[in-house]
Amino acid sequence: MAKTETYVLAAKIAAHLHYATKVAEQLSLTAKNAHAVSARAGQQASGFRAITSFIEDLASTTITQASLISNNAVNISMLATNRERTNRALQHFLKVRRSAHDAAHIQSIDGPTAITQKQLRQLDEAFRDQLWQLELQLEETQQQIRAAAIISSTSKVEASQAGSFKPQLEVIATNIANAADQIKQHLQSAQQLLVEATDDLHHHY
Amino acid sequence: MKVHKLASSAKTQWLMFGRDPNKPDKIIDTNQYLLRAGQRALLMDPGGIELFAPMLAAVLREVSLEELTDLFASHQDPDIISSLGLWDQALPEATLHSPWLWEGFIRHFGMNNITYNPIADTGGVINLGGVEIEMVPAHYLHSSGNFHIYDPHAKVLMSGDVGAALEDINAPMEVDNFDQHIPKMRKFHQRWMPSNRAKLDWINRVRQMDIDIMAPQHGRIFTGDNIQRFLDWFEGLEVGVAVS
Repeated sequence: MAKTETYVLAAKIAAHLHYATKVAEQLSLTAKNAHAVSARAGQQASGFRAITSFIEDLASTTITQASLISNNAVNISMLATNRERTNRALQHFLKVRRSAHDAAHIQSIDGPTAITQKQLRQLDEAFRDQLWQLELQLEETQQQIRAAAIISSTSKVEASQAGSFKPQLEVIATNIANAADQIKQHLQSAQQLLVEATDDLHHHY
Repeated sequence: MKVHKLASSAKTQWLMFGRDPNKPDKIIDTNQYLLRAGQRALLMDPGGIELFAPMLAAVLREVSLEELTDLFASHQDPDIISSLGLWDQALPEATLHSPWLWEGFIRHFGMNNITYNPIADTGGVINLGGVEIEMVPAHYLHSSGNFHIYDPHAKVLMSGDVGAALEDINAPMEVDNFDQHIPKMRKFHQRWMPSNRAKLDWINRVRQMDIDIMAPQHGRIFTGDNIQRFLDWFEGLEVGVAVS
């Protein structure tokens, strides 16, 4: 049985992904800014300019994926809520089966009980499947953020070689590093919550 | 959950459920009514989520779930119909008759299977295998979209919150001394009923009906002369008093 908190865990995962999307939107702006500055810097920042398109691509992919995962997490939360409600009906039916065992028409609860049990099994299956997909999607996004860490160190090196544009590009490089770090933190938190939700699932099913 | 045989005619039988001794303290006590007509049954104002299990157990002592084909919710309040999400799982083939005005709200209680029959403002009829039961408009008494149930066969009017009283769950089922009952009803009607005009409109229509039993959703039922006494008292009562 899913713990009561499962839908809360899924909603929290969705919130972390939402924050990651917001940071990625900032990162996209930073990348556009970096592109403009390095264009102005011309030859002095040719190395930096080359990596700005990578950053833009990365930001754009992160926005798309994080939004998708966030939506999926909301769906999981709704599924968990539905499961909770279905299970509550089942518990009531079982309780009535025990407490009113002598009622003349008690056997008529057996049909709805069987249907509710079947629905629960179907919900469990869908729930397991969606959690597994969420795990894959989070891992994929995390890998892209690892790439961002490499880009951010490269951008620092390139910034230090950009002559008079060095201070400006160094700030941009730091912003890129911070954004990547924040996204990474949100993804890690989401992964931890997912582990908790999956543990509950394994424990209860 | 106590069960009381309320009335019967050649076509219909009425049961009253309530005075649940296991009810949590802070929730209001409610009367639920079951009308049986042949192999069909109608459950009126099935109650809140807290009452679902005792209600289901009590209902199964009287009818099977296959026979319980119709639900009625006089209005949208939680003590009337917040158990809907659970009945929905127990009675997937049933129809819920309720004011059209509240459909979008009542569905928030959870309804994936049951069919919603939106009652028009002018009222309507529930046909239980050829036995017709009337849904009588009672708007603004107290909800802005509100109906009562009238069974012309057994001459019972299920009057929702009209005639309701807040009292101990050990109180008798029936009003015995009307004058002593007034203090238990006065504040409830003055505060919960918002419109003197709606009140008079309802009283005028109810006076035309042939009623042996008036059965509210809280408190005791009215029989015999006490029905007339109630209508006279209600007619003279100033309602909507929260706005001075």
